[in-house]
Amino acid sequence: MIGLLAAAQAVMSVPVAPGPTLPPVTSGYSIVVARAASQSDPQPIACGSDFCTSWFLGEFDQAVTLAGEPLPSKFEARLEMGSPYNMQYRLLLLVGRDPEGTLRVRSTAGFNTRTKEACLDGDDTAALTPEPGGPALFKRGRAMCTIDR
Amino acid sequence: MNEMTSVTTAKDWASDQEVRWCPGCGDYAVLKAVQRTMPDLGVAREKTVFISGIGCSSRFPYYMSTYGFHTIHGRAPAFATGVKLANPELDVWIITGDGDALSIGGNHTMHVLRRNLDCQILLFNNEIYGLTKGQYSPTSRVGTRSPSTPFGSVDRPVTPCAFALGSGARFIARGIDVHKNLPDVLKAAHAHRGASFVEIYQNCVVYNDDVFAGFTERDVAADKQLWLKAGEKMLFAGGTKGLALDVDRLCLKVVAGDDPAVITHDPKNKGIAAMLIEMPDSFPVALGVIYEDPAPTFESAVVEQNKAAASGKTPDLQKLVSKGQTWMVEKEPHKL
Repeated sequence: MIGLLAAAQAVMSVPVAPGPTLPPVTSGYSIVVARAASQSDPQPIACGSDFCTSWFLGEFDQAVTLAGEPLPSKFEARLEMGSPYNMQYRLLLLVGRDPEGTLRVRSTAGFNTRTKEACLDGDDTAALTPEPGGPALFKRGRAMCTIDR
Repeated sequence: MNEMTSVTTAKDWASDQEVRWCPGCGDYAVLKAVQRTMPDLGVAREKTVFISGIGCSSRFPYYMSTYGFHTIHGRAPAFATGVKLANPELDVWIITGDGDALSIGGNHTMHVLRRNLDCQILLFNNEIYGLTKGQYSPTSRVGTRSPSTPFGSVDRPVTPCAFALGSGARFIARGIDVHKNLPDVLKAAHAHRGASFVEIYQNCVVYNDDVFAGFTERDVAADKQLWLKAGEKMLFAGGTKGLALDVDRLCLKVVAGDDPAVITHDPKNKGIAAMLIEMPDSFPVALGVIYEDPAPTFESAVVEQNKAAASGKTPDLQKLVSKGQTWMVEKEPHKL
């Protein structure tokens, strides 16, 4: 049993490489605050390494759309990660849409509980058209941020 | 610190690995601060090594595009010592946490500090064992409720900087994960030749959330944070308050900011440093470079000693292996 636990721990500790960089999201995006409720159905990604991330099917709830295309309070979207989260987290998400309509999370940020802020990387949001606006979003440097009130 | 120059950007220092801590973890902010600071140091990635033990923070080397070791619990200082002795030109950073550095690796931390190995030690202090789901750590406060202390911890916690000072560290600083001053603290640590000990207050959003809120929240920060600068008065609360020495009781006291008794920060004053490190809760928290008094480094002494020992001697491997008691095996040993 101890051996199995050690093996499981070793697998979980393996660092993973992300898949190839996707073209930046331009239009048809949603910037949303939502709770990552669960992740399942991993679709492996080939990354040229022994250990790669997968596209998990993420279930999100308590969603509030801040900018872009409105999303319902509960939705599913593919999410690139090495393994599921250890618990449910409230996240700021940039969600894009595949040509066939699949929702795909393209950028995530957790909320700093001290500052209540979450910021999406400026590189991920630079190409968005129209540029996201609204009272809930603000820029910190190049990063696009919100405060969870 | 090394005599190297290199032009890089923060992106050059980020690896291609998926960064994986809990969303909102203070580790992200420290990682960004380090990646932003490295270009300003003018160092080369191929001359830089990040070495960690075990814990959440110890995933750090994966995320830096440098050489790195994710080693065993509490033993990063031992690996770092070997790396630095093997190649003193390397710029060595140790990444550790409160449990890794002060419990499992407490002995190793003490010795790397007293030896004064030229390296930067970043101790991420979140006052909890996060990776193993929230057990109390050596820095957890009395009363901390955790899976291993369901009725509250009765241990008196260690103060990391006091431990470092007592161990003979020659550079001691403090920073906060999301504070804008952290890069300046890192630069000062790197500029110091010798073991630079930096305690970083790091918020664990899951298992010990807001444990530092008492001095990091915006509405109390001015009153509860004392950012030290060499040669400048120890002022806080927007300059309205300062620290002075109570000569009769040989301790620090809070006075008005315009009081001429306010102390000017001299990082070489070890006595004042000890007082700053262990100020009670009614005082602000001392941040920035608290103590710095350079001394010869361990690896430079070892290199000099080896050079002196080898001086005037001709290398002779055969002579070395034949030295002392040797035996010739003339027959095959008896088979059992």
